[in-house]
Amino acid sequence: MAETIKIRARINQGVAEVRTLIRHPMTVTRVNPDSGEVTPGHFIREVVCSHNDKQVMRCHWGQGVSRNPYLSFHVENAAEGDRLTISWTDNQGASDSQSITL
Amino acid sequence: MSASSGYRYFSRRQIIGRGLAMAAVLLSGSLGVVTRLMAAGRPDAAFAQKHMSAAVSDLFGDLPVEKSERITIDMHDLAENGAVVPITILTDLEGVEAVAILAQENPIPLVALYEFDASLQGYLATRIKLADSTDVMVCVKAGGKVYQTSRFVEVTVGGCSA
Repeated sequence: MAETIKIRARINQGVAEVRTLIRHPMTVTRVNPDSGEVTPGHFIREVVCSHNDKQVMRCHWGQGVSRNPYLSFHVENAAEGDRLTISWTDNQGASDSQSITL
Repeated sequence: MSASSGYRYFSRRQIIGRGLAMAAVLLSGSLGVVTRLMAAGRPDAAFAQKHMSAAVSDLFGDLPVEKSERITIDMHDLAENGAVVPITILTDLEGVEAVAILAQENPIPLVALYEFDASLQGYLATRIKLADSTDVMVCVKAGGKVYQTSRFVEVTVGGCSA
């Protein structure tokens, strides 16, 4: 699972404006009304965002987050050269992590 | 299977389990300490609730929820495609600890919970699914209190199948 995370960030007066796109199906659990057959959902459960090894945001997602999730947030006290890491884990145990240098 | 082989199997599992636990401790130590973020982990009970207000009380316990003008939900009143509905949340509340997004008509009303560190500004943007025309509520926990605001969004094509 490589390259599922795209991170773009720019620093504006000490604040890092971060935008992230994660490639993930984010499907919901479905029950076929005729056969009763259950198709399990596949979705990201947790996203952790770190700024220089300090966790700044932890997201708990359900099935209501759209496919290929977009996430944007603003981190204070950011400077050029700082490291920003985003990692996710889904309900099937898959995960990915990506770092950028601001 | 003899008793002794059963015992050996059990002890091997124990050793592996302890090794994993130790690795987890070492890993969390090396990644830095989480200061403000809740240690409680994923709010599974709140995700299982079928009503927004029940999910909110699962998330924030006994804390009173106050309506606030200081939270802005920036989204269109009409969502043509319920599978992808952009939402931006802005707040000037001090000391935001957590932000929750809920939609009453969704099969699972709790869409997402975000735990904030003190270094994060009161800004969040994402894209959510809406099953039907619904009230969308945003709860912000800040300074030990919970504030909420909500707005109605009309959905043309539900995002239930997405």
